[in-house]
Amino acid sequence: MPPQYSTNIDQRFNVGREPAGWPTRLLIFSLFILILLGVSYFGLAYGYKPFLLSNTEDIKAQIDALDEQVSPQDRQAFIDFYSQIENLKTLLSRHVFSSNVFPFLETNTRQDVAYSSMDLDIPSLTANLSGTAVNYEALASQLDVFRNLQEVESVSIGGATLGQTGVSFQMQIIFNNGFFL
Amino acid sequence: MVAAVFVFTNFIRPEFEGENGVKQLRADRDAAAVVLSRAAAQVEAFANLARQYEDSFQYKDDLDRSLPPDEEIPEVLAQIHGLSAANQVTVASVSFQHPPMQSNGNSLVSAYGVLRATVRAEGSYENLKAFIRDIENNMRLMDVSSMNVSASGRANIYSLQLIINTYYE
Repeated sequence: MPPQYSTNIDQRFNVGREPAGWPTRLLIFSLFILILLGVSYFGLAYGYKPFLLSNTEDIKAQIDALDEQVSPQDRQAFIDFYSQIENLKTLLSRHVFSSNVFPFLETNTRQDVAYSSMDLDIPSLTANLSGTAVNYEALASQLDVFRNLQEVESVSIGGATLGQTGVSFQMQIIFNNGFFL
Repeated sequence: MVAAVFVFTNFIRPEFEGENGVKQLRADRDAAAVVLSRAAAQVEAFANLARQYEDSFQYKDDLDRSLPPDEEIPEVLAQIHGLSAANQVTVASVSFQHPPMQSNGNSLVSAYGVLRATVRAEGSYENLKAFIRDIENNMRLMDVSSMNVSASGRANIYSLQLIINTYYE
């Protein structure tokens, strides 16, 4: 009768060997972890840290190189120049021409109306005029002329008095934005 | 296992979290990288601005005349006198005030100063008109803030009071 063999291949080759117990496995695992930690330590201490340090030094060197591209004197001179141009741009955009009021009055004043004084305040766009009109009709007509002009925001009479030389008046004209620009 | 815990606690953890540890070094590197990118952006912006204003540098003297670095009151006085003489206007008095500095709102742009001059003068209507126009077109920037013109009582002679703002940086 031929010998009977087990069908389990493991049993055929491991005859007489005891399987490793858990203490041995724990020891092997612990050794593995220990080796892993040791490798990690050396990697960190002698690999990654020097790499980070040299990386940082490299970046600092690039910053220094950038700083040297523009000297502090050049930088300050340019900032001063830029500042001057920007301020000038702002001031020129607000620059006013108060003398615009003269041709305006010369063109739009009737022959029978004359002014004796003018007080012009640019921030409030206001002109206070004192003068004389031949009569009330001339003064009313003058008001109408100003009222119908696009340069004028509003016009009002402060007072009017009939005298020997005609009607003395005080008038206030408020100009539109942009009239003095 | 005890040795593994010992190595982790006494070697690896200090390497990570201790002074000059990996954590600290990474933070230093990241901070340096941020500084580098800002510095590069600034240099780039500076180069762009320099290109933009390259042509304007030749006008620096003109700019200094329009917006000088100081009040330069004697120059203002000389200019007002020069313009009045050119237009046959008699200047009776000039006084100066110093309003507060004005800020542009831009951190790179310095505040500018205002020098306020009150000018009293006399002349004919046409001459006063020309005088005011010349002030408005003067090389040093001048803005008339208020004006009072009134008849002086003499034939074709008017009194003028001007408040002029002029600027410096």
